[in-house]
Amino acid sequence: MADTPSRGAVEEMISFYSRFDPATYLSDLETACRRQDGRSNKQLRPLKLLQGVLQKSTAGSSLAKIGDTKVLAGVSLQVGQPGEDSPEKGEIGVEVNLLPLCHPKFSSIQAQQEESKALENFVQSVLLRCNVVRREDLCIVEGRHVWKLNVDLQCLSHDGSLADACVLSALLALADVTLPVTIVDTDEKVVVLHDRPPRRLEMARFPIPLTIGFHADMLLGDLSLAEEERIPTRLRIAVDCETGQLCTLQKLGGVSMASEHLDSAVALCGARQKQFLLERDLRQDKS
Amino acid sequence: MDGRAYNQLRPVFIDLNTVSHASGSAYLEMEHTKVLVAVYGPKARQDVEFSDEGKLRCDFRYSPFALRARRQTGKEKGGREGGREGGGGGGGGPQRDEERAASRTVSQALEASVQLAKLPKSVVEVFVLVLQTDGGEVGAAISCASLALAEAGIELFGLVASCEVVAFMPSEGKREWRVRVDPSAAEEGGEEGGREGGKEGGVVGLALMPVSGEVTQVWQKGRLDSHGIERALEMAADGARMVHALMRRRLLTYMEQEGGGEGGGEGERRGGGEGMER
Amino acid sequence: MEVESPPITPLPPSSLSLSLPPRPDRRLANQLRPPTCELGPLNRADGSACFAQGQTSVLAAVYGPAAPRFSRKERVEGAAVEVTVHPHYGLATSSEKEEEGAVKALLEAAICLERFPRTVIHVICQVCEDNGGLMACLMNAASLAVINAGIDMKYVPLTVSMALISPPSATMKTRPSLPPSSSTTAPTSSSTYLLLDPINEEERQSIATITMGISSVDQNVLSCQSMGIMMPSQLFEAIDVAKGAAKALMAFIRMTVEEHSRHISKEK
Repeated sequence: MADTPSRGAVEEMISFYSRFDPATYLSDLETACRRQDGRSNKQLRPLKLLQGVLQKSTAGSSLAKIGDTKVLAGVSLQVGQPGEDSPEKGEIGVEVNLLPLCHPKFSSIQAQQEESKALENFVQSVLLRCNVVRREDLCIVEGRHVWKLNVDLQCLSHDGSLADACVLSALLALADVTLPVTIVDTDEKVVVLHDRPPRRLEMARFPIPLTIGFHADMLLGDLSLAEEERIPTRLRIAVDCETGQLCTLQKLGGVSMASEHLDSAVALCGARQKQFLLERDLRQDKS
Repeated sequence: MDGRAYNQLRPVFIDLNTVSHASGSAYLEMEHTKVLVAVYGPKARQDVEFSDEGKLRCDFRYSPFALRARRQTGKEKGGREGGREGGGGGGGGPQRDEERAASRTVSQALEASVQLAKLPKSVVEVFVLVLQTDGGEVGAAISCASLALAEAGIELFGLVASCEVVAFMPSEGKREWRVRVDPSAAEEGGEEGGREGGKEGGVVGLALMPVSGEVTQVWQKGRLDSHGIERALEMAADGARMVHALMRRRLLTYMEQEGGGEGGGEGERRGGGEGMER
Repeated sequence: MEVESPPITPLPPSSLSLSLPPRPDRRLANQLRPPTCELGPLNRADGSACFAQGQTSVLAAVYGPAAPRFSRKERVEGAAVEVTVHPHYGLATSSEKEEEGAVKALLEAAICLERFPRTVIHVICQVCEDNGGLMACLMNAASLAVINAGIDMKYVPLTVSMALISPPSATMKTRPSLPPSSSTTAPTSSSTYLLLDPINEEERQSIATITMGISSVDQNVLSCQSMGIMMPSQLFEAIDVAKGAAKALMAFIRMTVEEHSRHISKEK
């Protein structure tokens, strides 16, 4: 036992090596076809999803774990006025919190903001553009009162593919939301009736996200943080969990990719889709 | 209020090594109060040229969910939590007043337990995140942070365990204190509103290093006479010893599992999941 | 010195696009708005460009490669790229942060960073007008400014925006002030069509938007940001459309740069 180096020491050695000689590190990746954490190229890390973890303080909550990346989501309800151009639609806001607790790179407020703002924008676009919930369902009185859902995402541990965990936990938290029954009193105020059973928010679509790396004509599914830092070409793809339609595809920077590589990247999302469905079935069996 | 005996703790769940990139981390749950602590370091100190001793830096934060809930209960209790700075639960940015105060409480409670003389020119950073609060989050943060320090392999004199109690006078006229260990947010007001309406009573928290019997931190809010404080401290010390026993047992099983090979770590994480589910 | 584009010959219309309703500005479905470009409008910057497509225009300036002001940003392996996007009006929000990140990632891949170690290249983009396809316009303006600054690039990234529209029968009947009802029905290839270089109005009515960057060297996909529901096959259709448009855009950029360099040598 004393002779074998601990897991931490091995990781340290690899990170040392990859920092000093990134070219050899990447070419080793090509030849060995084995990733730092022992996964094969297309193998994803285990996915675990929990719902209703913060029943005391939120209207809906969830915890998403992708390997060692953990994101906690909580939804709070608010009654507000609808926007002028959509009087019959409720609103969904997203806030992402990255603290130095989850990774030391977030030690400055600037570093936190840079990444959290980009994530906020991405998650919000996915939720709104892909019609994850019918926003008409969030209407109380057309043109006057609508529900505003604030989705707070708190990263607890960052080990790559953070956007995937954010999207998944936001979706699961929304699926966990129950809307209370309300009436509008004579003063035009919305009163919540606590004695009536609340109604569950219905999800119209589940876009299942996956972060993919592309290096030397190889696709790597579900990047860890160490891989994200070394592999410049990354894709973020989300497909619908039922129909397999494309919800979003984001590729920023890196090398150029031919259509056939993009095609197999989209196909790779099927693995995450399977993981998600399995996890959902498990949860349904339990309850 | 939830059917516990006066000297009974809420069910405690502890998980270790939950934050992958931290030197050490711990998660502690007392029913609805949930706290996560990550320790980074020891690393080089940037603020001074040289120091004989190490430094403990503590950063205590409420998650946006915890903050929202606190604000709501604050309203219900007639603005007891009044004077909070506005704005949503933006986790980034500067700390709020109460977060800064709690940071100080936690770091003072832990400082005495860390062998700072062995860490010259270094700083150990302790990040506390309160995920959900139902009373007693500062005490939970201290116990949890002590576990995280231990898991990070930082040399300690001993584990610090902490417990909060509420002291109140149940009946009018008779000056007789009653003390309840580990109150939830609803119980912090004392039983049957014992503390409300200007009556005497208060919450007392105590951090104790049971190995040496040293008390490392005491804090109090509310009005208590000397007799009441005495009773409260006694009960809090008992509570802290109970928490310490749980912490110690968890740490030992964790060490055994880690020593038993790679499989151990995976088991821990699964354990964490079940903890959150409850 | 401003260069007006020659009329860009529309791509051969596919059989699908003939039956489509006319666009508000009477373009064909696969026709770009004629681009205009002015190289070097700012004389204090190391490189600058003003790029416009219709009513969307962006002014970009490049400062550097220069010594970093904060040593924290310094990289030993190569230059660091910094991008700032100033919105049309108001303060920068999270969407500007996202645009900054996208432009930065594109330029980092295109510029030969290793030639300028320990320096910073700062790109500042000011949105002058926004009528759809802003992201593509930002990217094109930024890369033209980098060309103007004489910084070596591996290729020219050519970015175009596209929008996927659901059938007119469904969208046109709704009140014009409303965006199309958030239909949860599945769009199929046959009932939706792709518009190149959409204006704001068309973007609002779309079910998905795509911004795609094509490399001038190997005609492959450099960057892609799609948001909204579509079939995977529609994405590949979009790639083909983008490749065609990128060719036209490249011809325009080549002409602009040649004209500009002729102009400079004449002045000397």
